[in-house]
Amino acid sequence: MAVSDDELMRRYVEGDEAAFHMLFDRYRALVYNFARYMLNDPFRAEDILQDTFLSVARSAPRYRPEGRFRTWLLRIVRNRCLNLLEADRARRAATIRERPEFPAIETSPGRRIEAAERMAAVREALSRLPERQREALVLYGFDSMSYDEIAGVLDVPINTVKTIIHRGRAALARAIQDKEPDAP
Amino acid sequence: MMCADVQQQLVHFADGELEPARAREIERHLAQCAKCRALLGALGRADGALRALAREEPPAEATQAVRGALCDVLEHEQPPAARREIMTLDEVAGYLRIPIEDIIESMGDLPTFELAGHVRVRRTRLLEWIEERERAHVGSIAESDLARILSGGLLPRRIVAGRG
Ligand SMILES: [Zn+2]
Repeated sequence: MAVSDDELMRRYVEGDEAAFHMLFDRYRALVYNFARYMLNDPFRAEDILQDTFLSVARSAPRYRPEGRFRTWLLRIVRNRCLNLLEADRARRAATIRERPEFPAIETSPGRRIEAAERMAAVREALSRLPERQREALVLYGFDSMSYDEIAGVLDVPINTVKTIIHRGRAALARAIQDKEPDAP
Repeated sequence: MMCADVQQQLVHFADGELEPARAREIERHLAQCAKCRALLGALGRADGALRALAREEPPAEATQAVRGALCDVLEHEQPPAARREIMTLDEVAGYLRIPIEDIIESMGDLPTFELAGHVRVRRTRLLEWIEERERAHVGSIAESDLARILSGGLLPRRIVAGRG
């Protein structure tokens, strides 16, 4: 069985740097993608990735090992993203409207779209969903994460999370169906 | 059942969350409605794409940049070097009270490993290694010597500098 996150944090605090690199390897994709789709911005997601892990390393001695490392980590990511989005909104109120990160893609009708195109279609559809649905869906995509855990990260009741995710998945399904009208 | 009703419950159906009777109704509808069937297929593909997307790696340069920044923080900020399990060669020199030049000279002998492109030594491996060297040189290590080594006291130069 894999070493638990709490155990890796403990080893790191006791001086084992390699344990922290293992945590980074375990969660860099999740942190990056969570930030990426929350912000709709892959470049700022890279900054968040770095800031988050540096801040986790610095605050490790104060971490309480209660088996919820992932929730704790993702809440740090989310707070940073929310701060950025808040600043964006304040700025945008004074200037122009936002440009979506992922441009709309065109698919020729009467042809099944390929996996890469489908990914692009899902990315695009996801970027147009409300922030709440985007963040919940990325966590849902990380398939070892329970509704309970997602609710803990997003700080909402579990039933709300289920509803948000159901609606988001239905919206994505409709969006890719529109792109592949005659798929089987 | 109407398509709208079916589509509204399609996610619950796919997740197996419906009452058996309701699920059977939907199955019957799906058997004869290509449009709703296509939507169910699209839902499966959307879920698959979400899983792939959540696991996409950040760009390699970004990962490298973060690793570099992490190495700086982990080495220079914390935890206290005296308690660290992974040591730099400088720290090994300080710990053994031996000039860094001697350490570098005998690096081929030391139990080193590479971490993100840097040479490092694991403290527990180092202590084992010291013990092995002591045994090789003097048969068996005196307890007082081991205690001195473990407490970070002076180590005889021959342990690091001597060969075979
Ligand atoms: Zn139908």
